[in-house]
Amino acid sequence: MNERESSAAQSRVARLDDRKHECRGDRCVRRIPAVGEYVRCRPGGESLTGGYGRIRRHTTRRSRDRRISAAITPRKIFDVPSKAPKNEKKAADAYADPKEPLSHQPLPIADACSFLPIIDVGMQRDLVADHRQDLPRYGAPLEDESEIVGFRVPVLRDERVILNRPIVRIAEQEHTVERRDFSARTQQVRRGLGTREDMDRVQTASRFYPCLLYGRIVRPGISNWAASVSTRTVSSMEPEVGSRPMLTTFQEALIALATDPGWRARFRAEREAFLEVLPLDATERRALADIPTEAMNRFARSLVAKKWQEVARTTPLTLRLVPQLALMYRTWAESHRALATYGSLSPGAAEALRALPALRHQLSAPRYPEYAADLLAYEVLAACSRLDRVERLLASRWNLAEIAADICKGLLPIDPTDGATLFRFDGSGVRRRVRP
Amino acid sequence: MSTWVGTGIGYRRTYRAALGQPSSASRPAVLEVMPDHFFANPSAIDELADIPLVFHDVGLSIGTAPGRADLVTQARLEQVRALVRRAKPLLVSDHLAITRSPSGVDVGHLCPVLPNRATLALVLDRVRAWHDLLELPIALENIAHPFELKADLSEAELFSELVARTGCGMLLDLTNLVLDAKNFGFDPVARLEQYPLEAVWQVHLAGGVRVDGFWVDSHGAPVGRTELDLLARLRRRARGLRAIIVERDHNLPSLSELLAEAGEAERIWFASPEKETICQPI
Repeated sequence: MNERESSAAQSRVARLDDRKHECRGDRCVRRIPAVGEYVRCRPGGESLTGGYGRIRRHTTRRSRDRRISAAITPRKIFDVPSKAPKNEKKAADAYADPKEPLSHQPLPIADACSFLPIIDVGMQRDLVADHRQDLPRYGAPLEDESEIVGFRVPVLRDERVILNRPIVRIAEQEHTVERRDFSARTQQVRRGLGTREDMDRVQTASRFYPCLLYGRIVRPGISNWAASVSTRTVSSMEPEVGSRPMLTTFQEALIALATDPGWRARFRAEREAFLEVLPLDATERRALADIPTEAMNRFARSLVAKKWQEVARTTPLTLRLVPQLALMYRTWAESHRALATYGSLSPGAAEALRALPALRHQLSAPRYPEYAADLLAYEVLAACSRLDRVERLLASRWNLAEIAADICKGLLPIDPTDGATLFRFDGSGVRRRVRP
Repeated sequence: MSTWVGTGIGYRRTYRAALGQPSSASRPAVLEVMPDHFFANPSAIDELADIPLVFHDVGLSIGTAPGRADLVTQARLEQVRALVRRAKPLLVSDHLAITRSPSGVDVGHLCPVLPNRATLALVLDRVRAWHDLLELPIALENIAHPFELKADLSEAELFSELVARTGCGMLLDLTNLVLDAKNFGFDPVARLEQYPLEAVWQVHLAGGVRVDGFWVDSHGAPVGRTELDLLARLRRRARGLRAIIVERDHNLPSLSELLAEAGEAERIWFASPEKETICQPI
């Protein structure tokens, strides 16, 4: 890497585990973006490319509420025909961009609708807690953070953030873009019969509800499978099951019990009353009620223990340096449920990457060696890049390679070399460059 | 025509160098591969090109109801399909379980499905779709249950229905069966008879340990005697068996030791019926 590249790379690094925002150009803006400004989002440690969005202020006449969002979405180019095709199937095909990564495909309407209320139950609280620190950077002039009501869940694929948009509530209603709010033309767009003008007109809404606007998955292959399986399973195979979102609530509740201590506490304290409020059928309710408390607690413990076992393989040196890391992780993991992602990372590396910001923050406490937090990042990023061959950068004031080598030898550096260093991780290893 | 392929082990990176050597002594007759080991570098699987492979995934979450998690499943299926086309395994298997909620909360481990008609309908559709997509035989594995979920069907009935209506196979994990029997107090032999044994295509053998009075499939200990006894009992019934795999994730022994365990399983499988041992009650 020459001097110029090195300098450019440095300017791109804000903090390892944080998000950084840039103007549409190359200039890094380490400040709150203003309304109307385009921003790009790159979670540190993960190579996000192509995501962009514009800070917008939304007001809907119907609900009289205002929303301020940083719609950071992947770059998406719509190829919308100028004339509305007559045939609905052809129209749908026309809207499908074959070059578009699969993960950009919207969810079926039914899935999106069933998803939103469920996220309110337990996961939203965690998401709010996780992202609260990031909110000011998303540019919303937040008068009161307690007004935050919802998040779209980030779905990562190939290191791209697909949906990651906090929605700030000013008025009472949340999730207020309902089907009836769409005009007739919008309905046509949804069915694949609209024109480019229609599409442009509904862009604002799509920033919040792309899944509602594009309810049809038309790409052949797996997408069709995903689209069909959600509608076919109930209606065609087992008509006696009915139209209720099959199993969804049961599975959400079961997994919430396994992963959320709050749910388990309520379940333990008032099991019957707790289950009564959930929309379950009698079989599902009985199945949940019959789970012994101890069995569920044991299962919950085993989940965290298993994850730690995998994470510990990624961070052997930091663990030697700070044996309390295990407890730190377990405490954090119990209250921070993971969202399923996909990529090339092993479960352990992916989990270590997820926990990195929190653990790094804890390791920066004065009672731990000064370099412990950076060493953790060094290990995790190196392991992740080795596995998925994605380039990652880490800026540190320590020569972490030297520190890691010492710890490998069983030495505990007490006065390590202090020199600003930029580490570059990729599939072939770690390279470092001393920063000027 | 016999479908039998052989006994083998689960591929672990530790054994990569040894398995890469062409000497036949250190190579199993069949190798079980977890596709996600090769997602980042699919070409690495070419090193195993001359060993018959079976794919075994843990992340497809076949029982998860439709929802946001479908995106993750789709993407994973795409990755598996690409690898299937490259490596051409004999079959693909996963667990009859969920590993994430419909809204996308990741469990990180196998969670049992509710054995009812709704789950059956869901899994039926998915098996058919996956079969079409991967163009390979699909097998589903019984898990070690952390707790029992009781509904209209038993787990064995669920498997029987799936096998009968989709033509999929069953991956019978004898260790999971034995551990469940110990934890929930039933007779493993009687339960074994309830499974659709004629559709058992593959058998898993692994070690379990007792933690806080509960048996867990740690995959970190040698195969137990009870599992081997059940394997002998299975012999007359599972005529479609293709492979027996010894799994080990922790406390990895040397490759030759693990292959010796697999060899012992093969010896039992091919032992004459007259010498069959009787499974002792647990």
